[in-house]
Amino acid sequence: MLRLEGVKSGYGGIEALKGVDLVVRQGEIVALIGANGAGKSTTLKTISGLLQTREGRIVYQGEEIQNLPPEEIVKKGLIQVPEGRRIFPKFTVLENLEIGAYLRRDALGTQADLRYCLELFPILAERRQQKAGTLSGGEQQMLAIARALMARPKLLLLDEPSLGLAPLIIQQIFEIIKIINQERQMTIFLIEQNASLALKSANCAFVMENGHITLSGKAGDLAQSVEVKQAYLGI
Amino acid sequence: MDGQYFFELAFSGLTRGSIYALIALGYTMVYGILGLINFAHGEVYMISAFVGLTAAAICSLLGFSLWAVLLLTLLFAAAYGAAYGYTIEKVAYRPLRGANRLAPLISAIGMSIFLREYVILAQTADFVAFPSLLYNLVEVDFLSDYIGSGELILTLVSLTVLGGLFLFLRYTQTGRAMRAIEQDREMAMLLGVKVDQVISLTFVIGSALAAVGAVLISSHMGQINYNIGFLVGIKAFTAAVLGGIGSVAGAALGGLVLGLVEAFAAGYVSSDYEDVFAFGCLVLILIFRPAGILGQQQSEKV
Ligand SMILES: Nc1ncnc2c1ncn2[C@@H]1O[C@H](COP(=O)(O)OP(=O)(O)OP(=O)(O)O)[C@@H](O)[C@H]1O
Ligand SMILES: [Mg+2]
Repeated sequence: MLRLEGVKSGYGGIEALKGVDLVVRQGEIVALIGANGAGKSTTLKTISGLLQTREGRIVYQGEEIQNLPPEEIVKKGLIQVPEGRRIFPKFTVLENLEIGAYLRRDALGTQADLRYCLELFPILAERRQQKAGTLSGGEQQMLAIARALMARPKLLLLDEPSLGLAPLIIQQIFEIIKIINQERQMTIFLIEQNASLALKSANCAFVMENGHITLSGKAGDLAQSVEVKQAYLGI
Repeated sequence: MDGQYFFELAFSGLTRGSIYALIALGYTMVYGILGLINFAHGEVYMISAFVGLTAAAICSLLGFSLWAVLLLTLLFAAAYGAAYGYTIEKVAYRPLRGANRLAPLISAIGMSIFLREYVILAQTADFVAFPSLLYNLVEVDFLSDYIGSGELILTLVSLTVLGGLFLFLRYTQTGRAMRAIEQDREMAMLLGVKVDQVISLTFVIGSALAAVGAVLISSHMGQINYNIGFLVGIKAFTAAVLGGIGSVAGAALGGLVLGLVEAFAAGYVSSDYEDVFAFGCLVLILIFRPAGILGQQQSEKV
């Protein structure tokens, strides 16, 4: 569904991605793990068109999408939930969800998705008129995911959904990730520092170090591999 | 205290204030979205007054009714002002996006000087008469002790436009996108908002509002020149800061407060002192509530 081939990108003089190759297959949950500063978020920003692809190709459903403007990429159904949630604090919960559907013109489908999101996250239904800035961290993460769902993604790009959350909330969020993957047949590209959690939920995974992919394979196999165990699972 | 006099002053304050509010919105919307004070805003106001003058003359010559002349003049000036706002953003600010904060500021001042000089050369440096489009449109009996029919129309038109803007910002997806960009531009992009387009629209709307204000005040004052944008610009900017720059409701409120303060100062003290009170009020707010009446203490935009 999505393939990166030798993708290089970065910030000004800094080259953060030094030739990244990876594949996300339709219907799967694919994890990308790696240490701080490895280039995981940069990978997502490059896919979403916030950063220029300096070399290489990004192919989505047979079409090259590198260096398209972000709104074109959103239109194609690649929706990102960025690191740190980035909900709009001055909007109510409901307004955040509605702006998630910014590019959609199908009022009925949008209404149906709104109902779906509020069922998926009952806490958001309860808080729908509350200013999003006053939600707890976990609620904000749920809102960020729900807002992305309102855009009706074909491929959902999640950047560290577990960041700064309590174990119980993390568990809840990962259960929901699996539910949307199964119920909605939504493909999910999941970035995580929490490697054990990511490898448990994903079908396949890639390990990133210093702007390169160093390991890849079935999530279960990677979880057993000596390198991953030592470097990321602390075993 | 004389009740009659009090209400007269209150209505006169409301009239001025609603105009300050219209113009203040242009400052505050641009500031909210770009973190930039658009110093050329007052000049858009001034140029729109000249456009309004031409439009009014043509419409009158064509023999339209008084109402039609007013509406067409407003529309024409708004369209022209909007085109100016759009162009100023494209020419003076967009190329500097992402540059040091000082660069667009200097560009704004340059743009402002350029527009003034252009009007002096292309039109005249003298005052020219502006037709009074607002009078003899309606007969008002019930309020006529307190407010003239022209002022009443002026206030109603500007309050209607303000109301329309609020509805737009609150209930349309585009208005929401504007407010979303203010909060987090990159996130808005990730939801598919074409940020450049929405920024252009912000300038277009702000400038059209200033143009409406320009036609209304000019026809109230009866004359215009190349310099009228300056004081009105400063007053409207004061209103925006008073209400909390970046806050749309704040700009409206700040405009009304400023108008009322001026009217009462002029009425109960002396009209020589109205500016002293207006800016004194600003100083007090800045001392005790630096973010403005409705503003929130904000960290620097990055
Ligand atoms: N805005 C930026 N400007 C300059 N350099 C940046 C910027 N953002 C990230 N970098 C650099 O790019 C490299 C990759 O950063 P990136 O954010 O992609 O890491 P990450 O794998 O997502 O890390 P984390 O797990 O901490 O989120 C780092 O060396 C970082 O310092
Ligand atoms: Mg990151």
